[in-house]
Amino acid sequence: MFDRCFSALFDSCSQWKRLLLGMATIVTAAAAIGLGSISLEKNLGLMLPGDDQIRRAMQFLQESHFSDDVIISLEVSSSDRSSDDLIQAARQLEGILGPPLVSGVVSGVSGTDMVGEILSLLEHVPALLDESALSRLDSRLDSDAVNRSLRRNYRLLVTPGSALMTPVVRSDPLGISAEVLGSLQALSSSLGYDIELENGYFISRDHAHAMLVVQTPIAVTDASKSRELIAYLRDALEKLPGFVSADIVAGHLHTISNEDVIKRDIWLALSIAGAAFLLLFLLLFRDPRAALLPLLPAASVLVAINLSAMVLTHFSYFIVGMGGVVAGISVDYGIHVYMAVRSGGGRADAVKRVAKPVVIGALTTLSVFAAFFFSSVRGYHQLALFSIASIVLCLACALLLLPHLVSGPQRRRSRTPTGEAGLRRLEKHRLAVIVCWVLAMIAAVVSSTQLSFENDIRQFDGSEQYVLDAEQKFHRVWGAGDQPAILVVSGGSFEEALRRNRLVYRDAVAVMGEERFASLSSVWPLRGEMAENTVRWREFWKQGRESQLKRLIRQHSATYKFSDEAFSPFFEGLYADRGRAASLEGLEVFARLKERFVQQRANGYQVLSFFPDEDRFVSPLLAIGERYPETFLVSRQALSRDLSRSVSSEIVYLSGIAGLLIPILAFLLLRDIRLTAVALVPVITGVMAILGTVPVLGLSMNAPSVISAMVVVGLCIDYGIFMVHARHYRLEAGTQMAVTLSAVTTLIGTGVLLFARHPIFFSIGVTMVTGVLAGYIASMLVVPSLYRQFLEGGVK
Amino acid sequence: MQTLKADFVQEKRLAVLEEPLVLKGSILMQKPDRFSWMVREPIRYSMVIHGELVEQWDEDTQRVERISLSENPVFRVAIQQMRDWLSGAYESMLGEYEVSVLDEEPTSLKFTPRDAALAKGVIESVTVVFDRDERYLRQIHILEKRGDSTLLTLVNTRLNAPIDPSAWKVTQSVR
Repeated sequence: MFDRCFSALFDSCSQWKRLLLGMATIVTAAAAIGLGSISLEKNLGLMLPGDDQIRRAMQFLQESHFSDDVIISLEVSSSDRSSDDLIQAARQLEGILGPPLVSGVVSGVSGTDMVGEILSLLEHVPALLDESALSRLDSRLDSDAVNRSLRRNYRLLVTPGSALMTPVVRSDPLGISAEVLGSLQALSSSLGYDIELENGYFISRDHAHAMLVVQTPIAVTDASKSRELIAYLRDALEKLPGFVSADIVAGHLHTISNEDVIKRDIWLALSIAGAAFLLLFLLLFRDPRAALLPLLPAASVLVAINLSAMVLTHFSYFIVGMGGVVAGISVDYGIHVYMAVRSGGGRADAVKRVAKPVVIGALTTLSVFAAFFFSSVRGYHQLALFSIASIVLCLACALLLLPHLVSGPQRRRSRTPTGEAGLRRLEKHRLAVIVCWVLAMIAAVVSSTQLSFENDIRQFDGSEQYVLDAEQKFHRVWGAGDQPAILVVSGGSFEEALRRNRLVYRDAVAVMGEERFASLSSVWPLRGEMAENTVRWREFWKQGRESQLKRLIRQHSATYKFSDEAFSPFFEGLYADRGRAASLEGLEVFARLKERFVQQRANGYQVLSFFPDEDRFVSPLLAIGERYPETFLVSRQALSRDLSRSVSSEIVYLSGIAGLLIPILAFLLLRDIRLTAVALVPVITGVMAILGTVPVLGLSMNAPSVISAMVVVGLCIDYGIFMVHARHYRLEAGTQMAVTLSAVTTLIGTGVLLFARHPIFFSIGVTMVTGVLAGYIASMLVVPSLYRQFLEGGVK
Repeated sequence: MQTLKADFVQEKRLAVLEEPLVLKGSILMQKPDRFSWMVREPIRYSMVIHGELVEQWDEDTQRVERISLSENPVFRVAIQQMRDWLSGAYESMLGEYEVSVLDEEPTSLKFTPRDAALAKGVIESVTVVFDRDERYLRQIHILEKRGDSTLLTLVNTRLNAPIDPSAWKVTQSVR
């Protein structure tokens, strides 16, 4: 049935071969031109599982631009220079940097009137102290405690620099604000850097480094602009005095470095693979027409990109990259056709002998990609569409056009070495081969128990050593190594978000303690609470405590010679109108906290709380978050775990579908359960080799390597079907040589990735080489041995 | 300058006190981050700073109190300002203060806080007066916006003289 249909189709195409060839050429040329008008996206979100928590966390990180700031650490490299020289250099650099690439430079907190700030804060203290704080204050209103406070105030006057402290002492003789100040200070410095302020500049504890935070409108993901920005900063740093060296710490450097590494890897891979392919085809076949073989998948990919771009609204670079690799396997169809035509004496219709296994192989490969349509990842749908389009186009060209291009008399009668005789001899030892294979599979199963799945986002970072060295040095000097986890609470207004945050804060503190959970709610009461606090404060003092305190101060002041008016600012402000208490953000310290802990969005506000990104804290907070629908957690740990869980279940699901479709399709096409079982041997071998080898090499599986493994499945099923089909029907179509060439071309193409510096390329290289090599060896040795042992005699 | 040793007399006229407060004591400084302030009269009080750590001792409590500068930003600024005045690192202060020459013989400079100064809400001006040979700082006069004033006079000033390590123990010198 298949043979008859294909024969009819091939014959009718033969009549129109010139027209078809002309059309194919025109379509390919048009596709090449059309490539320029296709805009591809860099959005990685397409490749994320359809899990709400993951999407929300990734969207939050993208929109927050937390990583867009650049940090410059200046260092005095000469021992006879001081921090004053460093500050001069920081000031100079601050003056050089400006728009459009730099929107601002933060070098310290110069310009803050600290004492004025504290005096303003003191005015807000009544609104900030709750009932328990007043109760603690009440216990400090006896004679001994007041005497201790006055002695402490007197001692402050004999300290150096007491000039700055005196106004604070007069306005707060009991040190009532210390508790509030402590909380504010703790929150301001939480999860920050080890910084000292010197003349308003950020200076390290060793006084040898200054830090500048450079704000930029350039997004970390914009590679070309990132390159401009870093070049601009390096130029500016060149202008600094010779005794100052500088380190740049920026996400932009990772982007640039990754791009450099990827470009080098691609260039290396293309150079080696291109030269190897050319040599292989030309030297082995000694036929310039063989150069057409790699052109088929290239032309198919070109047309498929255009077709996919017409269908898809968001077409990603990543999909084109992965799809391009995937489509590269379709070079195999051309090889099989070419070998069939050669071994058929140069007759184009010799392709009919291999059409069926080629189509079966293509259908099984397509079934692997069709399984991606069942994924929740939108990117996988695109990958499936693009890969299937490429493979179908390549298959059609290989079967219907290529035979006419490579047919005709052989220019030189040369027998391509096939090695078939040697393999035949090995079949005498088929039992030994089968036993060895079984043992190898058992070893792979044992080894695969150590397999781990790695989903840490950092594994995709292939940045060069100089970037990592600068970051290590930075953390050594300035601390603040790991990024904290963030609990995000949303609300339509700031007050609403803060109210919700208060509820979450209470639960979170109960679980992990106040010191580990940096939250605005620890210092920022709700508006209603502030009004209540103010009323309570007035009542507190009106109940005789004011006169009691005045009496105690008078009683002990003589000892220290405090004047009668010494603490008048405190008493004068005791019942002052605190109408301004509602506007805490008018205070710079609160405004700065709000800047860091609150984000305004189009649909409202988000209040952020920070805590250590460790499992022991993330898990209970995830549980707390589930009780409050307006919250979500952003944690590398949780994100990694969610991604791992989601990708793993996705992979199991897709592998299950592919695992079902492949044998079913193979059975439907081979119509023999035993033939199907033998044809599946290279697939099983390839997959088990990957699962067994990866842990032995000390590596882990990841999303790209799993996709690569599925490609291996698609390739190995082809090897199995071709070998079983050729053997079963005793075809003389150069099948062994074609399978060998298919495997060799794939091994060359993916083998060069073993020399790649980028971890993702390396991971793909290891998976592909291991799987294809094992699958190929199984198809050459194990498939014939099993066939001979269990199926010999089933000749048509 | 690597080290500074000096005795001092400080007269403070403060609204908070009934009469002027006159302190007598000594100062030690050693780059990069050691500073000692010892008061002998009218109370015995000692403060030693090493990096971020501040140790204080006084005769009333007879206890050493340890605090961190990083947790006391105002105190940190106050101490830093005093260290800057004493060390003569005036170049680095130009961003915060405007400077004018009041007198040349002996040199007398007046510093007025700019808007960017951390102490702009408190300090009206700071006047520093050098010895005639201009090697030593002799006086620092701090005038506050609220009318308080502090006059610090240094005597027996020695620059770059070795400092006995035991001098950095907070309880040693004033006991």
